[in-house]
Amino acid sequence: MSLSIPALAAQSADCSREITAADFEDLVCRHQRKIYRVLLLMLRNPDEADNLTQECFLRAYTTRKTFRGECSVRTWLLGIAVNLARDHIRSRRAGFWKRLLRLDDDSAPEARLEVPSPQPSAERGILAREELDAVWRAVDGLSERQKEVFLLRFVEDLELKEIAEVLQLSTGTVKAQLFRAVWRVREQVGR
Amino acid sequence: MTEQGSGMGHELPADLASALRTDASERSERDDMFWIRQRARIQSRIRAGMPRRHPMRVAFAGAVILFLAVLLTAPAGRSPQVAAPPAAEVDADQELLIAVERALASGTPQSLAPLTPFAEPGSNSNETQTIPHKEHGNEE
Repeated sequence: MSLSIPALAAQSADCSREITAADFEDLVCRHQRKIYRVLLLMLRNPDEADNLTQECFLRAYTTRKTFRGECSVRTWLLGIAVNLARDHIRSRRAGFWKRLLRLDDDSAPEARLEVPSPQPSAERGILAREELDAVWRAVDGLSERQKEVFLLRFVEDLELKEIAEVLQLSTGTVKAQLFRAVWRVREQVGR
Repeated sequence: MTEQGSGMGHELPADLASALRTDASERSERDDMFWIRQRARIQSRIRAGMPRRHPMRVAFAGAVILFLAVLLTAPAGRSPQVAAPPAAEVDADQELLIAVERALASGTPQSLAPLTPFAEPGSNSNETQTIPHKEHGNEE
């Protein structure tokens, strides 16, 4: 894989162009943080998020020829990441039930690490830590689809249309899912 | 649920949304080494995936070679689909003839070899002397 600086970086919309192997290094560089962030918030496990981020780019690399620029690279990558996370959560759930049914006592409980809280910042000074934690707890309680929609909307700042593209849903469905997610979060946070 | 129609139901309070975004970014914050390592792993996994193509190429090349080899050797190796000739109806006379021919071809058997005195006259004086003896007998 070439490590050259690609022309892709110059593209603001990063659309309408086939991704070459030469572009890939830059693509990883520009998107790895947001892919990791979404995966971390969906999985709540740094190691799994790291591994799936790698997997996401690996999959993107192998399927890059199928990318025709119908959506942005970000949307395309987020779509891969969300699918990977979804599969991972399902296999994790299946693994949990398998262990439970086997009554496998020697296996450690779900290796789920809490995402470390960041250090205090000026931004968070405005809002109490407790309130943010309550939001994350509420997000954890959402359905898989609602959580995806909520995180893409409020963490990745995607438009409804983009969310619909990532999740391959209609905009109406995204709107409905987002409404329910926001309603539940606000209810739990009390705002 | 009445908020759904107005669009306000899709939004969090602005300060909460902003704080949430900042918090998410800070939670996923990692040092530069983490990102460099991650990129290196992605590259190495991509590279590790590449050799998988080589066995395919080798297999393809092998298949082509095999095909060519079969193609080249096939005319020589191919046995024509000729019906086996019907077993000859050999009668007793023919059998005998064949046996004689074989015997002749394999050399003269010792028992059928010509007598040595006729073959090499004078080589054995004892046997030549018996003939006059017989002649003498006749004279008596």
